Amino acid sequence: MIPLWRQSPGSGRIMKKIGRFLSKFFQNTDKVIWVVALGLSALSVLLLAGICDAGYVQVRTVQVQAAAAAIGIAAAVIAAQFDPEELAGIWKLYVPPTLLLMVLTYFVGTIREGSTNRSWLSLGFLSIQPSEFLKIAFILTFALHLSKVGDDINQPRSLVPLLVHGAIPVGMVLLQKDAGVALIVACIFGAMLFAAGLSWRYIGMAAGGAALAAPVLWFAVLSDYQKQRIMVLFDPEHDPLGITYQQNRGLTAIGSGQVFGIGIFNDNHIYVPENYNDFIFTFLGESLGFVGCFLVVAALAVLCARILANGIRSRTTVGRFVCVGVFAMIAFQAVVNIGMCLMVLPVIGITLPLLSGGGSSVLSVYIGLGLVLGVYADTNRNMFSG
Amino acid sequence: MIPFRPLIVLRKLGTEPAFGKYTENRRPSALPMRRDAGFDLLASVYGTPGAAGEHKIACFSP
Repeated sequence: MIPLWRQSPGSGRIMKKIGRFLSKFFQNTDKVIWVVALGLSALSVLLLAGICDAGYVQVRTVQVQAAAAAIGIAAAVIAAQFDPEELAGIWKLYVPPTLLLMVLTYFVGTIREGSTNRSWLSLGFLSIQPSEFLKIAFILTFALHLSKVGDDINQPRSLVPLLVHGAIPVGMVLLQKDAGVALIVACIFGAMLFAAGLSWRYIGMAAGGAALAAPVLWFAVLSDYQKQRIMVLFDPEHDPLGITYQQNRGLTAIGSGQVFGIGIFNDNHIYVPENYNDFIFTFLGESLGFVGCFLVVAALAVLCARILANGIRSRTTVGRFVCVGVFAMIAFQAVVNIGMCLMVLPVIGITLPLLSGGGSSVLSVYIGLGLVLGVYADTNRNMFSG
Repeated sequence: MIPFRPLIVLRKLGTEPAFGKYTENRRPSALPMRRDAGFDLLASVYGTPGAAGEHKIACFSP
C-alpha cells in the first residue's frame, strides 16, 4: 500500500525537506537533553498504559499524554530555532493572550475532578491549563526585565518594578486557588532574582518578613485542610482514611515495589488517588522499585544540570536567565512532587515534570526545554564569531 | 559566602558574565604567541633590567 503522503505529487519533497531539516537539527542540538526528555516521556506513556491496564484511568489519558508529548517535541524544535533574546523581545505577541486565558478561567474556568482549583478551560474535546503557559511567559519576560536592569538590581527604583513583575503572575494563579503553581512561579521568581545578584540584605529581609508573616498565614490565610496537610507530616498515622489516606497509600505502593518493582503491567497494583497525575511517582516506585525511582531522579538531575550548563555557556544575559528560570521550574517541581509522594512535604498540586499525566504540563516543560535548546544553538552559532 | 555549590553556580551564572564562558581569553589554543617569546626564554635564564631599573627575572608567561 502506498503511504498517504506519497500519493500526491510534491508532498514527498516536503517530507524529504522536513526529514533533512530534522536530521540537521538533531546533529546540532543538545543531545543529552533530548535523550533524557524523550526517555522520560516514553516512560510516562508506559506508566500510564500500566495504570490504564490496572483499570484506574481510561485509554484516553494515555492517548492524550502521547499526543501532548508529540506536540511538545514539535514545539521544542520550533522554540529552539529562535534566540531567546528575540523571543523575549516579542512579548507583546504572547503575553496578552496568556493573560486573557488566565482571566477567562475566573469566569468560565472548570474545576477538575479531585481538585479545588479553577484552573482549566474546557475546549470541548480537551481542557487546557493556562497557568502552565503563564510560567513560560513569565520566565521569558522576567529574563528580559532582569537583563535590562543589570547591575542596578539592588537599587529600590529597579527592585520595586521587579517585585511587581513577580507578584502579578503569582497573584493571578492564587486567584485560581492553585497554591501549587503559585508556589512554583514564586520559586522561579526567587531563583532568577538570586541569580541576578539580589543583595543578601534583601534576602535576609525577605526571610525575616516570611518568618513574621508565618503566624498570620497560618491563622488567617490557610484553610483547615491545608493546615492539616502540613500537620500530618509530624503525625503520619493521623486520620489514615481521611487526610493522610493518599500519602499513606502512596508510601505503601512505593514500599511494595522493593528493589526492582512488581512490574508495570502487574495485576496487583495498589490504588493511590491521582496515581496517573501528581502521584505518578508512587506508581513508578511500585512498578520499577528503588532502581526505577533512582534512575528517574538521576535523569531529572542530569536534565537540570544540563540546563544550567547551557546557561553558563550562553552569550546573552537573557539566555542565562531563561536557563535559570527553566532550571528552577523543573527542579522545584521535581523536588516538591517527589517530597510529597514520600510524605516529607505536604500535598500540593504540583506535577512531576514530563512524567505526570497532563497535556498542558508536558507541553509547557517541552517549550521550556525548547528555549534552553535555543540558547544552545545560539551559543554554538556564535562561538567562533566576533 | 554561599555554602552550597549549586547556589554558587546559580549566583555566578547571573552576576559574572565571563563565568564558564568559552571566551577567546580562556581558549588555550587561541592565546596569542608572544613575538618576544624567545627573548623571554633567554631573559628567564640571564635576567633583564626592569622598568624601574632593578634586575628582574622575566618568565615565560603563557
